[in-house]
Amino acid sequence: MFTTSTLAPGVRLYTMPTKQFKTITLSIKFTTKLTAENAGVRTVLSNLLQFSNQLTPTTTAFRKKLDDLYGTSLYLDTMKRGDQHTVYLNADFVNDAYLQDRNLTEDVFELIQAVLFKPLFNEDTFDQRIFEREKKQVMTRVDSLYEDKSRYAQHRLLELIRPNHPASISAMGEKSLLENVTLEDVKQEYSKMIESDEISIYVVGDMNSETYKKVLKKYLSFSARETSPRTNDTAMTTEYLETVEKLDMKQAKLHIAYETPVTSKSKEFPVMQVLNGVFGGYPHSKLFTNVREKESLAYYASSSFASSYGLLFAVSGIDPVEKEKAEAVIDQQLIEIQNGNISDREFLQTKSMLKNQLMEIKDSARGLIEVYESYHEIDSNFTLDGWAEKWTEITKEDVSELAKKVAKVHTFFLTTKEGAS
Amino acid sequence: MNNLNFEQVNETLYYEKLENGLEVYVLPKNGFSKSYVTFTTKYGSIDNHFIPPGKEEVRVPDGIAHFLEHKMFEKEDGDVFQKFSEAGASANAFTSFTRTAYLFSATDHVEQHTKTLLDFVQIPYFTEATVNKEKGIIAQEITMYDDMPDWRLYFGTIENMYHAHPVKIDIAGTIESIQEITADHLYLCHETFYHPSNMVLFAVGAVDPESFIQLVKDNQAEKQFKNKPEVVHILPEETDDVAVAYREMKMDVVQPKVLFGIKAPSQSLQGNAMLRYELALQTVLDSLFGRSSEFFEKAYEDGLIDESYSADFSMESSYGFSMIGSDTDKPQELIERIKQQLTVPFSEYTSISEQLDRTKKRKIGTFMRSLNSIEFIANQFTRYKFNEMELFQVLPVVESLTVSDLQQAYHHLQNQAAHTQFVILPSNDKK
Repeated sequence: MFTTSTLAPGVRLYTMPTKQFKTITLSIKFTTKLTAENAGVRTVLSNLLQFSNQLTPTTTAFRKKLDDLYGTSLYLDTMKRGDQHTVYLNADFVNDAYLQDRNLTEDVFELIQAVLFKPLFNEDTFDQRIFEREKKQVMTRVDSLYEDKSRYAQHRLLELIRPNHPASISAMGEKSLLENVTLEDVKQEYSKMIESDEISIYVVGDMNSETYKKVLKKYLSFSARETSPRTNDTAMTTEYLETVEKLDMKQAKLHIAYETPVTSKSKEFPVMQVLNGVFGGYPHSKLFTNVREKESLAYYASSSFASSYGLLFAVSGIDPVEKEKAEAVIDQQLIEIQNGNISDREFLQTKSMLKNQLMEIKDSARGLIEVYESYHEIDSNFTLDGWAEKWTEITKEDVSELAKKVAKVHTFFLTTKEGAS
Repeated sequence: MNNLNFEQVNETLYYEKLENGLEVYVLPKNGFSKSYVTFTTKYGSIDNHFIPPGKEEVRVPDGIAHFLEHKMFEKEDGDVFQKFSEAGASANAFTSFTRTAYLFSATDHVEQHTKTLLDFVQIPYFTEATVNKEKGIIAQEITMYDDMPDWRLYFGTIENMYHAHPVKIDIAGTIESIQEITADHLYLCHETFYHPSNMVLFAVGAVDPESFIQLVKDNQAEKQFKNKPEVVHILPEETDDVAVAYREMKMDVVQPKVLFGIKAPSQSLQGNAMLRYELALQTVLDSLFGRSSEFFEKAYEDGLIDESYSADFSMESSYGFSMIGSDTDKPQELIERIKQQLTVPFSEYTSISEQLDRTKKRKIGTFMRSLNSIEFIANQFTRYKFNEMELFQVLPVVESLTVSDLQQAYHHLQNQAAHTQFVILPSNDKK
């Protein structure tokens, strides 16, 4: 899929020349080990890098610059995968060929260079209030999770089943830790990020890889750094628990967690993908068909598999009084799969949908980067078509055997204060 | 089959109007793997009062267009999602104020899926039992939206703006209003609004125009449609001032939320005039309230707004509104700041022409970027068509905008009688 080259030890460039898109899509990822402490510091750092550098000292100057660069999109944010934390810079800009302005690429790289290498917070004259303001922005973002009740319920469930574990540490950090973050912490984290984080650079678009290497060398030269292998873990808990919390809201959220012995690195990962598809990944799946269509209990009912942590989830938004019934219907669907009650039709549908979903990624530059990033660690020869092949051989027995190893470990029920709506 | 070439963006559009009135458009995209096909009727939540051809005037229950969209998927032989899934297509549908769209995306078997799409949207099947069963599902959908503060904020602001226009009614209706819906209502609305002459079929992506249009022709030739019906839409009178100038409500949020609404005057614009007005208003709003504006910079530095800030304008032929808002600790100060900004005479914006140039550049780039997304193209294309506008005319019109276009649009934003605010406050002091 991508052509890989090593710019320096620990700094890799992945390019995909294609005429399919009218823009160039770029991603620069800085990755290190995730901790509860560094997640918050790195998120504040990503905000500060975005908005104050020597070339564009204020948010407005930065935005005006992006307008002048034909609406170039350029932003930084953080994410996590497994036990790794990533600060990423994404940019998307019009291919010079569509414009009268033929210098756009170099101008964009000049801005990226300023963003990454010339931050104002490293200057003695830096206004401390900007730091306080951006720290507050991140704290508010963490807080706003609470307003989306299904995201909040999922977050609480993860805290309950995997406390102090990468699975439950938010990539944005935690509010209590963020409060104590200092500018000095950010400066230190910045030096570590530039000097020792692993770096992956992705470029998709109508460009020449060799030209890009030259541009990168001119504007973004990184020194050598060490790399470390990544781990996935499937720590198992022992007993099943249920937790109920009440909030001032109307619809109740039922979130169920299951442990599995599979992660993205396991041989059975493709089987788990099929299992999740039969269980609740699609509108033809057992959860949608039974919880919604047959029982009219919910508007949404679906499942998802967190491949880094080996966790499967079933979620639904229901009337508070229907909790027992909805949970029983969900439980029954997993039992059906364990008993091998999978029709030819739903099995075929699931495989077709999995394949189509993967093939559709070919039409999204950002999608190609994200999928390659997560799969090429698992399979160094990863291609979309190659992965789709893996599903064809899977049998219903493979799925039901794996389903028997799936264990329900926690039910989190976020419900209304009144009880019924 | 006809075609139109848009050189600036390197795209060619193919189209044909069929005998039964259905308009078919195809935009092939080189190098793309998937196809995205939308089948859209010019019928949304605001079309709730009308005279069907040869029948009595009728006022249907709120939320019916959306209810009908849900029920189209269920047939005597099962769920249509199942049919799409079998051959690997993702199907979906949505109802807006003015449109109901049915769509699928697929990397294979596009012909088969297109026939499924045409058939399931054109051949209704409703029974009282299936209609009643859907009420529980939609009630949960409505309840889910009720718990979303940003949705409540948006709808609260629209409700403030309009006296009687049905845009103030929630697209899904209420739990009470959907109880009144019967199979007969659904058949009536389907018959009235799902005639081919009221619909557009649009395909984009890995599609061959000639064979696609032939396939649609063959499929349509198998079906009988009555003559093109003339539907009379009844819309209430709506004045240019807002119905309610200010309202607030409490919800379980961590920080107050403000939305400042500005109602656009009724103009019944269509075609190029609408496109020009829409782009002029978006541009002036962007220049004065966008993220590169002085307003934004000051308000951000003073802690009145945060990352959730937005300033948007949207319109259809019978209504339109601008909305500026943010999560904020100081809702009243933010409202005052916006009001104050809108009292500044246009002549004092001395750098407006420089800002116009900058906004043009950005619009060109963002438009090019959005053409990478076939979902964007498909969804926008039909909206433009229904308003007699052309998606690919956006760039030429943007490039031709002048300072006086902006001045006229700004004048509309300044009308204080068209201003309203909706505020959501935290219900308790938690966190």
